[in-house]
Amino acid sequence: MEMAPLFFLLLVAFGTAEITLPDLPGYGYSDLEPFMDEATVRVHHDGHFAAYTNKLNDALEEINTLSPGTLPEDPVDMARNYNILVNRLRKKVTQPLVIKFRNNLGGYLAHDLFFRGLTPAKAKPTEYSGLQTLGTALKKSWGSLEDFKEKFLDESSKFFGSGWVWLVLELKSGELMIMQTKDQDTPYSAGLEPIMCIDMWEHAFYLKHKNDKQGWGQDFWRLVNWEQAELRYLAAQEKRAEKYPVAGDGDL
Amino acid sequence: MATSRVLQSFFKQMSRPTGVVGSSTRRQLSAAAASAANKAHSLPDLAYDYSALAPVVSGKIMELHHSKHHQTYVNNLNIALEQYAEAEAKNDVAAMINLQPAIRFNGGGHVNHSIFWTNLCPGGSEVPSDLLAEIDATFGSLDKFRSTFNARSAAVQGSGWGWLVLNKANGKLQIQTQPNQDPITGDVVPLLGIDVWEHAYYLDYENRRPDYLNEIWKVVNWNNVAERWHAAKE
Repeated sequence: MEMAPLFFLLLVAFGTAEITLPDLPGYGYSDLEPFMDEATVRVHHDGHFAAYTNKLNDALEEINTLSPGTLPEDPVDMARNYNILVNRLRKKVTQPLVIKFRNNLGGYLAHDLFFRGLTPAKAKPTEYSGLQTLGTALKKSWGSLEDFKEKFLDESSKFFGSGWVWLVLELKSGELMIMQTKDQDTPYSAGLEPIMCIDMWEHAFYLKHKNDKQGWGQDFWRLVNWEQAELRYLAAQEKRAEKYPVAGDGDL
Repeated sequence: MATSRVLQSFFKQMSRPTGVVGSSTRRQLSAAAASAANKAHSLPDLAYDYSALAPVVSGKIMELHHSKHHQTYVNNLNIALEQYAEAEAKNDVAAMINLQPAIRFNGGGHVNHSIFWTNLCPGGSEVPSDLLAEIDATFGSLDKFRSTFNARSAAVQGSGWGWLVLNKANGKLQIQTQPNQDPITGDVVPLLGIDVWEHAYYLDYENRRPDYLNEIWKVVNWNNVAERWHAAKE
């Protein structure tokens, strides 16, 4: 019997191939020193991020078996459409499985953004190198880059519990906002596109910074990959144009 | 203590379906406003040295946990309560409501950690026989209790606590988890709490929360848990 068509059938029936843990993007475990210690990079990536990836795959396998074809392929799309998808899954999937899906989808996406959003400090010619369109937009919203930094790190320094602080673009309004999410929730499902984020779970900073959230924020800032943020901002603007085309646009 | 009764009534108030504040609650709040300035909360001392629970929990963690984390909850609770008293004196209800999250985080943090330090002791203790009998009757065995407790505590998403409580409504022991620093409230008495915030174990166990939970039983002071249980049953 031909295995290839059978495999294809199974793939179509049971959904996509496994999601793989992304490697650290373009830097090694010790390259973020001294602002993020190697031990933290290792356990954060190989421990926490890997666990979220594995458990997400487990959850997806179960969901795709119980409700084939409901979930899109791309985890980002799963997050963008989370509320609709969960409604569709409601009758076929138990609440604990929904929770497992939510937490691990969020954990996978948030950590992917987080690690992509970092770069070795020594790789940055200037503090904000890479910022162009986004830089202009940040200055428009907060007055100056320093004011934006202060607002962002104020949110993270006061953070309570586990969660994340994000710079997001609200798709509908086109506004840039600083916001918090708790646990592993991401802003996607609220129509907000992430530009950059800081992990405020204690595991992100405890080994080096202990309870000093302010110190962690300052060190994190030295590692922010503003080129990535700029790219994400441009992509978010495109997504906005796609979703909310301007009426009477002459180019259409 | 007057102030912890006030905390309890805050939480009861938050769970009421209507916005009505009962007259006895109002009297308690006024009394608290008057006395809050004089009755600042303070960090309780540990009954043992920071290093006494090692290697289960290192001295490094105990010192940070007690002198930094818990101390911060105490300081911020005092500030929030002082501000609350001022707002209440001016009848500024919006300001009072605005302060409730800070009282919840920091008050809960203070209440929870104060219980926690007494639940631990160097070398732990045997389970007193009457409590052990109750655990066996409720959970099947001490081992089954611990493995259920550990499974539920390991599964806490984010920050929180695992608790053994006495449910006064039915007189039974129960396992409960709480998120963040939400304290045990209602007709339920906390007997034993295990902190599963990452700060409680990360320097020793990193992401291996289940390992921390397996080890922590070696330093649980069951005598203290039994004392709390006896007091709760009265």
